[in-house]
Amino acid sequence: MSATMTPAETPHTDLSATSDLGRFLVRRPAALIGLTLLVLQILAIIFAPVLSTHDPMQANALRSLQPPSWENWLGTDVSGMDIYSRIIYATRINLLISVTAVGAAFIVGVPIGLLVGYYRGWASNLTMRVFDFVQSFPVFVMGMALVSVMGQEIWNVAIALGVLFTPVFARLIRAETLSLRERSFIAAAKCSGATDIKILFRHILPNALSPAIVQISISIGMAILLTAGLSFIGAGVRMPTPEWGLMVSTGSQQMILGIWWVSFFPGLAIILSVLSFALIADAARDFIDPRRAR
Amino acid sequence: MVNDIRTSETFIGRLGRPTRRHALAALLTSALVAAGGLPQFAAAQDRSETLIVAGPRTPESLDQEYPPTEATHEMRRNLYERLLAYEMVEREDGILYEDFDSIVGALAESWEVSDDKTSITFHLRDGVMSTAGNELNADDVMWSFERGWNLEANFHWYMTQVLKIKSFDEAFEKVDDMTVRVTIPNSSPLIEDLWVNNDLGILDSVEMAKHTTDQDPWGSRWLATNSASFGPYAATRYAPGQEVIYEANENYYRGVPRIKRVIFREMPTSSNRVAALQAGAVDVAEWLLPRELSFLEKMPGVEVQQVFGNYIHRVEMNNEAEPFDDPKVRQALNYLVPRDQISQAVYHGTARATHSPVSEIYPGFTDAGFPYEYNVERAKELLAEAGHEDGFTVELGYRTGDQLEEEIAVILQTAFAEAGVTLELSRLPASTLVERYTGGDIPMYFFRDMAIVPDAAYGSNLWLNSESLINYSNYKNEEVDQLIDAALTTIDQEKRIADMERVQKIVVEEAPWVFLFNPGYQLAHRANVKGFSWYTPNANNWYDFYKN
Repeated sequence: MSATMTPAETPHTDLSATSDLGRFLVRRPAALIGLTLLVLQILAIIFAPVLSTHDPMQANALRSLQPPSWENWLGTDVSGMDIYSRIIYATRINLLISVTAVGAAFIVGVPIGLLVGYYRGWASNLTMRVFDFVQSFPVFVMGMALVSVMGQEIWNVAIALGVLFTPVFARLIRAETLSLRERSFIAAAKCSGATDIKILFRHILPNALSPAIVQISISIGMAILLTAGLSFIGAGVRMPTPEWGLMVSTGSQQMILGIWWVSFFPGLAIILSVLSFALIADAARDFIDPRRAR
Repeated sequence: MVNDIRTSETFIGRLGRPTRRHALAALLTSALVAAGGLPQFAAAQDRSETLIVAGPRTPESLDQEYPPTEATHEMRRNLYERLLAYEMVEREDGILYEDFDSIVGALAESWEVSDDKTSITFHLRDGVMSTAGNELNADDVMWSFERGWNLEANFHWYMTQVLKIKSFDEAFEKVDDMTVRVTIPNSSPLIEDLWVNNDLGILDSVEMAKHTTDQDPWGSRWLATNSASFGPYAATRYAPGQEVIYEANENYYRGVPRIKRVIFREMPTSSNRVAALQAGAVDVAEWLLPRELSFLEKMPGVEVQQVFGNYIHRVEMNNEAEPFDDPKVRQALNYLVPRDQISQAVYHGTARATHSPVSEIYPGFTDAGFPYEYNVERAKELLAEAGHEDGFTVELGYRTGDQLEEEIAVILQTAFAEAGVTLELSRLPASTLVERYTGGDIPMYFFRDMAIVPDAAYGSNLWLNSESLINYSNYKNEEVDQLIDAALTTIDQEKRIADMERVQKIVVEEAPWVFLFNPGYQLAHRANVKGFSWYTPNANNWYDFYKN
């Protein structure tokens, strides 16, 4: 098999060593920045109780809308809650929702994509039409509708986003599968008596997975934005859950009054988080597919 | 225009020796200014008679039978005219207020009330013209009454619930072309005051007749988006969710409005209304947050009006459902409200804690014996006595976009947690919230309302009588019901006051609501806008306004 494979069909092995990854990161400072930001977010998730200075959901009306100070590093919101502590805890919520949603979409979407790409027929067509239907709605509107129906809970937001992202992974894998199933090494596998399951999961999946892995990072970034967007318009998590979009929303009313910090810092957190996943996605694509690297 | 030409002359003068090119430029400039000046002047005139208002929402309907909301109250105030009104008096703050002790005629020039207060006879004003140009007569009044009775909405509620009328034919009578009599089964102390209510406007029956059909004999479909009354304005454009344009009724019986056109624009976000007012894009901004009002007060070119108001903002609990079917639980929550903190942080000191189900400015109000000062230990004791020593979890609903309620909800969440009560905050679209509390489907929700008629029994009947359709908290106390019913049918004012004080004592003790605040009523406008006045529905009457 390996004798007939083109470079594109051959799973990469040349850059998989840690040293190669290190050299890659040195050559790509943007990737290093992305990775650093991701590490910071992971630290915030793990050490939130240690890093925060206040209870993120403890209202203190007498300290409402205080500007950044030693007492409240990034100021307080309308309810007197500490913005810095809420941003730290919000990392948990936002990433929990996003990673769960994208993880679920990946786990569900990849096998579906494999099956509908490998087997052709009415079931395959029907599945794709269902995905067309889901994707024909604007993502945001669909997200609002799903959360409205299921209720404003963290897990429901994650499920709604998972439903939205599943077709993305399924389509990616299906496109790769459609191409791979016609390749000679698959024909060789069939001739050697391999079962469909073996062909799908041993021969096609490893070769089809690269774009989906890159898509994970892109989708997490999108999920963070969507979660924040849904919360901003009141269709996401409930008040006063520490969530970046909700924090921006509650502060947006104060901007006109010159009270900028309530929205600014959570907004900055969203930007940095989405940026980190975008940079990592970009680097992952180049790392997995060296032909794209410049 | 004159100033512009002078500017051109000065411009030439400052250049020293005018060249031919300069002279030509000056001539062209003058010509352009002159050409554009006339329309500009006309536009300025038009602008001085046009009021642009930014509010959170356009009225849901233009029909006065539509359920009362903040937006429809204002619509009614400007499109419809009533039979009677309170005399307006100016107080020290320069604002016009209703004098509850002095009723004057509106569409009725005069009226007579029988000694036993079982009938009122209205003598209509001569020469009152509708916005469609039809003259008022008794047929308009009778048709309006008949419509309201048959639609079984607002008018019907007032007549049956407040005046206790049971039969239309026995109650309403056209005496002659300009006289109408209303006869009620029992005495009513509100037989005059009730007609001041803007929900009881008189329609132009001639105009309405053009828009009725067999399927829609009362023209409800047409009236939902159009107007036909004797009020100061007619609605010439109604685009729900966008804007309403009110044009002056040139035939209005009190004289032509000084503001000829009111453009009401929907701007749901209060900060957008602040920005629009600040930039001069609108003349008036309604329903702003206390924080925003404090900000605007310091802004040149903007004025903020504040009145005591009559709102009672509270958290209602479903008294029929667990755990709020036990008064001790309701009392406990009242002990957990940090009213000082809310007053300072949310209202910036502009609101007053509510200590009674009756507005502070209405006769019969008392706050004697209000026991609920912030006391976590007492709350815990009461919860333990009610079998909730470990607390409980309950949903609290508030309206999407109501930042004030959201801020209070978050403070209550932290405060209630001190006694183990966990609040799950639900931000719900207004229509969903109304649907849920009218159906008894939500245990706790914010509710803000006021009694239009300044009477303790009237307001108590609305919210606390177990027979009332808007007693959404399902509060029931037989003695309270009896006292309210008695106060609505007796004309012995001293007894009424005593009975209503007793009602307030019982209700405060049984705490059907979490008592919060009277937020007052505020309005921000450009400094050249004058004439702010305050009426019990907290709705602006654009007829009173003018521009300097």
